[in-house]
Amino acid sequence: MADPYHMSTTGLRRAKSAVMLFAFGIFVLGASSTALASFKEGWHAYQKTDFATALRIWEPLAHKGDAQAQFNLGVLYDQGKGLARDPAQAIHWWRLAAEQGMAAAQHNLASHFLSGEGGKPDFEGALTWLELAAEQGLARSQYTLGKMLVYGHGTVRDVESAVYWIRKAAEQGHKSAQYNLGKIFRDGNGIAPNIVAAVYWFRRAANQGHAKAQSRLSTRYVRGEGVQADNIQALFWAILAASKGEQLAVKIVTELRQRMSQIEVGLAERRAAAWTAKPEE
Amino acid sequence: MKINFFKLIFNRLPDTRQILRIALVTAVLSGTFGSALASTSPQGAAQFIRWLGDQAISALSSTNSSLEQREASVHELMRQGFNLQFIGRFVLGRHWHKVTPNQQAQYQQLFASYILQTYSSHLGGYSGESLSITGAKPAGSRDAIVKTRIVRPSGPPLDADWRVRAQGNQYAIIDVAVEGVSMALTQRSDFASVIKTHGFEGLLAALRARTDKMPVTAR
Repeated sequence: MADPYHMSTTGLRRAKSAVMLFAFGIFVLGASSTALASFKEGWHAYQKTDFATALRIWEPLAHKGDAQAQFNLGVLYDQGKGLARDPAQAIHWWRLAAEQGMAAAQHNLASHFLSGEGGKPDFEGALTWLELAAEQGLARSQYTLGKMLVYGHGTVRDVESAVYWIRKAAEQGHKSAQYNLGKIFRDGNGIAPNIVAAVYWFRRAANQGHAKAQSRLSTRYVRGEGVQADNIQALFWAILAASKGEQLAVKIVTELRQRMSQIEVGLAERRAAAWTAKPEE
Repeated sequence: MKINFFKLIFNRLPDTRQILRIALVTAVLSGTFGSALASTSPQGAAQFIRWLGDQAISALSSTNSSLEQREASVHELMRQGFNLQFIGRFVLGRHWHKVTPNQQAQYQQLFASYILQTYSSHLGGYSGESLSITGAKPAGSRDAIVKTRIVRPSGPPLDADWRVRAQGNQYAIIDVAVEGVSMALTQRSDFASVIKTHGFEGLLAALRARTDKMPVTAR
């Protein structure tokens, strides 16, 4: 049988600790919501190009270990916003955020190593961070990692893994990855050649405004490779690519204009004039 | 490559840049860009720099889009105000003729993004600054130099000298000297040393990495 006196003491203790826990919870919650509010204030200041205020708000948060504040502080240092540009400080803050697992920080740290700024490119250093960010699903990192695997930068050349990562990035809408995947399918690099798949990826990148993809898509329409030959479509894509300085496309435009009727040329030109890029990302 | 403003306005500008398009047309019609001359009028060049500065500031202070989008508009504006093809070629120096046309095209594309970013960061990231013109004089037989002072809340004022060349019926910036240091000459020696150690593909990779970083994050 339970001792009523003992029970009530236990109850009291429980109640006490519950109150303590509740108070602590309020404290923690309060502290974190204050941090959240000030982080946002930093963001609003940044948007208003008031970088000095953004810096004043993010810096203490970064010192307390807030990964996003650390990352943003790194960007301010890297871009020289609100202070003198200081790549060493940028790396310092990005590294802290990257070690906490933040993909964007891992990516920027890797980009810094690749850029060779203030020294020579460090492919091995970049690769470690890119792999972590790519695993987390960051398309830019997946694409860059894929390209490094294609060239064997900082690692052994591994076309199969390269295709895996480039495809991941392409599926997420990364236009350069889409263009590269198009080339991979066209040439059968590390994968069975598939011209229909190549056209599919060239088209997705072309729709996003990737000039080289537009030029390659135009060529497929000229030759009828993976798609029904169509001079109007070919000229339309070539005009877009040529306007961005794609030399191959300039040649296609010249050749097609000689071959096609006035009406066909006019149709392609009007389509090109009305075209706007449709970004996926 | 010379940029013809009329061609640019009617063929090259994407539809999303309607506002810039109107601004450009207005500027051209009001004669801001002067006429075709072998030498560059310092007064015309100064007017051009002032116009470009005002446009950049107004594009940045718009409040209905994110800073990244506004910066993209400024970069678009700078693409038109700078002769990036000319600068890119100059910076590459003798290496220009040693690479394939394909590599030249890749380089020019990356260089444009790189230089726009670099200029922005050297000029203070446009944080509430004001640009005042402190002088203009002829430079060499073809160019004019417009001297400006950029007052920034985030640091001491900067002196930036803009080398402007009139081409056909328009002006274009072909170099900026920040605190007396030519950006084009600095980059030329930086790039030469990257090419020496890592080859031309190494330079492309470095430029790609420099321009592929993630922007600030919201929570």
